[in-house]
Amino acid sequence: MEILKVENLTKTYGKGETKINAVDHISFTIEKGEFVAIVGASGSGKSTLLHLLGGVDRPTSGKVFIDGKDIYALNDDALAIFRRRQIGIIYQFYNLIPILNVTENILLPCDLDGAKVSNNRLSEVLDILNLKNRKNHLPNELSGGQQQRVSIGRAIINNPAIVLADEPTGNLDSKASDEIVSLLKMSNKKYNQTIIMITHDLEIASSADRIITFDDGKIIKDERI
Amino acid sequence: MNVLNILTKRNLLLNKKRTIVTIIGILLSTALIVCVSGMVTSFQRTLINATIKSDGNFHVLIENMEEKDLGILENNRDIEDYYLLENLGYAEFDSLNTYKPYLYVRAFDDKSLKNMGIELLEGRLPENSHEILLSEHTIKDGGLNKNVGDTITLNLGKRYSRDENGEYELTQSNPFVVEESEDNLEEPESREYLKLESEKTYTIVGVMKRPSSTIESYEAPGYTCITYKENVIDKKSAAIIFKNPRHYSKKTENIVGKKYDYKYNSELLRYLGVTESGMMNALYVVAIVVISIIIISSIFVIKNSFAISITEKYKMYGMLRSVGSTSKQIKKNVLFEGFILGLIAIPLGILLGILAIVILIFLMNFILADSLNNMKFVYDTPIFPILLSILLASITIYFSTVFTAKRAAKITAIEAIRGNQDIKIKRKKLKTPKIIHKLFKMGGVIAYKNLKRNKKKYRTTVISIAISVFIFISLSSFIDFGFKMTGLYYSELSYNMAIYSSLEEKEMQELFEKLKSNSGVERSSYLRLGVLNLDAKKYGSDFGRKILDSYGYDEDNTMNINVYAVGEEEYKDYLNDLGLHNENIKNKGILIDEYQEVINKKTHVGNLYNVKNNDIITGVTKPFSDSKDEKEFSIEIIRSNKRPMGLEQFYSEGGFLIVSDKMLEENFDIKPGSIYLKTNDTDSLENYLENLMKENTTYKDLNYNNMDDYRKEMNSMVLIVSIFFYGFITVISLIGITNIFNTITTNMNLRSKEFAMLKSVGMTKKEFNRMIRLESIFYGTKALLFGIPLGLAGSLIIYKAFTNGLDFGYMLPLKAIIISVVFVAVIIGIIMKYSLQKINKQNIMETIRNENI
Repeated sequence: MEILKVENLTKTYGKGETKINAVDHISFTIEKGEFVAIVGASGSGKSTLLHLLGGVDRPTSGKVFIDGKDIYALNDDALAIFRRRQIGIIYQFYNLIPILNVTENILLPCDLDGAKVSNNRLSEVLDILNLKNRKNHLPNELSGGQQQRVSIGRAIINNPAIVLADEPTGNLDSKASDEIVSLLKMSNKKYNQTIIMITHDLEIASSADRIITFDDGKIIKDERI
Repeated sequence: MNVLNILTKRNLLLNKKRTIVTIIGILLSTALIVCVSGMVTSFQRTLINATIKSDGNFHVLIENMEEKDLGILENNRDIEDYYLLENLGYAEFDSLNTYKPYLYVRAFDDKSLKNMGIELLEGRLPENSHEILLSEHTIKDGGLNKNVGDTITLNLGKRYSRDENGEYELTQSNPFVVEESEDNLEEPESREYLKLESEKTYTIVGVMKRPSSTIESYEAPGYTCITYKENVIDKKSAAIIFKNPRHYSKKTENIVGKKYDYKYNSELLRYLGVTESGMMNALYVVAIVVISIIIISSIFVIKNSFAISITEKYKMYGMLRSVGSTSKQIKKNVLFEGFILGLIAIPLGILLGILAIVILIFLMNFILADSLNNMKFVYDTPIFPILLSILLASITIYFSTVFTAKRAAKITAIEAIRGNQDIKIKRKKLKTPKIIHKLFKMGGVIAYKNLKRNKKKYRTTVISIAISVFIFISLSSFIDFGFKMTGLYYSELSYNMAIYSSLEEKEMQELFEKLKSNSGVERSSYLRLGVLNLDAKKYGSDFGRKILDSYGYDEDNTMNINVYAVGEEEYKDYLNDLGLHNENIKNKGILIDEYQEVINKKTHVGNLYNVKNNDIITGVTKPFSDSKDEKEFSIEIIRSNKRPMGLEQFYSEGGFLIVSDKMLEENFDIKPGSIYLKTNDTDSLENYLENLMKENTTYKDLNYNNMDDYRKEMNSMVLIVSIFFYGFITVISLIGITNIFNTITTNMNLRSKEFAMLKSVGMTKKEFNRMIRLESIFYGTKALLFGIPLGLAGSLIIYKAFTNGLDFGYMLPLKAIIISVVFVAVIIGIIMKYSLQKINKQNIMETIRNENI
């Protein structure tokens, strides 16, 4: 079943002479449970696309439907609420809240919703992420890889419709990178979690089921592996 | 200029708002220091000028120096200038004052006439040696019946006395010994005698105010008269001005040795600050305390500003280090920032401070124009305070920057790049009580934890708010208690003119009739007193008898009640006030016996008598002289707590009984009291009184109080003190606010990435705003939790200081506390709102991706 549908999506920056289409009239769909990698050179517009998919940036024109919902028809508040329940975002730089510990950072979207998370679910997630014995640590007490794992935890705790990851391994060494990618893969397989990952590293991209190649704001290739 | 300095300048320009706010903070501190110290020097100068005018411009007056010794004055290196006064001698006259039987003639030259504090009341100064100036005191106190234009012939001579060493001359420092009675034990030879030397006739050309006590002491036997100098060869008195009045006693001794009498112009010396006088010292102490407060507040502000500036540029410093700059260079760079800001802010602050002084002085002169006996406040360019402020401000900036400079220099490249410096806190400290989560949800939790983050920075802000609150509450109490003590709150008198005298009853009655018929007089009372003696055991309450005991009046067990009649019309008005009718009351009396006494620091209130309404009391009337008789007297009483006009401020441990004039006249021996008037034109009534006193000798000793003038003066004082107080607290608060502004806005800026992330994870705008608002509430609450108890403590200390002796209940400074709370909430709220606006404008994505924030 279709979990993500993009219709004629465009994002334009600048005016007149400096006008540029970072995302240029794109359309595509993604099924539930897919693990999609979006690759492209630097400046190709892939990060912009991801942010438009995540509802953190508004498009110049076009629509994005997540789980049937036209997300840009929602107002800011409704969008925010939607985001915390249905979208998980992982950034290249960890962006954890420095004064919250591991557990609190992971539970952040639920807490914002006022929703309770069962201890089982939390336990499970901590286990998967191998963070059980760090659950009360602060971000400044963790290594880079551990911090990124916390971000993943935060992204998947709610079982959102889609998880978006923007160069999740960009800052990590090869071992940590491998860990992160296998975690993503595992959550994709185990929970049927739809994951859209941006990377410029073709090797990392090859862990995905489907690779979309982006260039100059347009999709130039879309192949399944 | 090297690149680091260029970087600093650019940074300052980039963060214009923060730079301006920091400059404002330094500016205000400097201005305050200049203003406070400048007010002290101006105040001092004002007093000095006033004293020079009234007491003369000299430091010491040496009397009767011999001609040969005058040369010392010419060459003495301590002496700036001096005036020579000739003493022409004493002349006897028909004085009304037995202790002052002489006129004492001195001759002044032009310089002395201008500088010895002579105040002309009538006529002009003498211009030759046949003209003379009398003092008002001679006419009023001595009864010399002469006017301007009259001539006076004086037989002048010197006073002498004898002891075992022979004859010696007496001066104004030797009082006149009055023969007490026939059995005066003094030998006739030791009494003084006058050796006449010349006869002089003078024309009286003017009358001056009584000279200061330095020139004519209170015990001096001769009234000073002044004529123009003659250049006689004789002993002269010298009024000396020292170049530097410090150590004046030593300098005087050097001139005088033990030879001559001398008198210091003490009040001038006191205001010059060279005596060990309490007053100037007290003034200096207050100034020092105030300035210390200013400096402490300023140090917090400035230090904080620089700390913030460093935090913002953390990454930059780290990067500079990685590129190759040394610790020293970084340190110098920070100091350079301080230098630039100081260079701009301090001169501006000095100008602002001077402007403030000028405005304040103008205001004071304007508001207090009618009071203070024409003392005009003058402005004294505060050279010393200005230099002092430059020094203090520079030191403050230097010390603030030096510490932060050291910290900046310690930043290693990798720390800055990694960006781990912000959170140095331990897990344990971040523990949040469950209730926060329950009440305020996640937003509140994050807000709460933010307060614990990097405690030092927040501590400074909290402390600066707390200090402002503390000062405000303490000073509010100070003002409240001060005013209560001076009775300013109790100026609710029903009359505005009170006239006192020692006239006989009939004359007072006549005067009363005259005054009451003046147009403008709305209500008038004339209090006359009789005394009724009552049996304490029978009529006194326990409270009343306890009071008697405490005064030691327990011998005959009686209480004396003061019986007053207030004048027919006032009695009618008074009864009206009470809601009673004259007809029913005619033969009754109104008993007023509520009394307040402080025993063991506690105030007890009670009634002195145990009688009830409509009881009849019987006692004995007590006459004022032994020649009159006592009479038995009974009267039915009605109780009241209201008082007739004029009785408001009286207190008696015997209580009061108000009766009709007829009743008092028929039964009691009467002592005339005072007249109280309520008029709508105090000025014309005062003029009327003055004329009366001049034209009719019976009334020449009248005393009156113009309560309207008094009230006006007090109101002016209140206004002035309020201006000073509120001005000061406003500036201190402004300084604190600049600090808070800087801290909060920078803080917000530094966390913009976090905020963007929170929004991207799904926090709605409303929830976000709520989180920030909660943070400001937590902030403010913490500051108030410190500031208010401190303020209460300060207020208690001030209370203790005031009540050494007097007693009134401690008043909780509730108003001040409420104002502080509101103020703090508003200020923090505004600042946060301002920051929120900026943040909410930012695009989430740009913020997260932007490495350069």
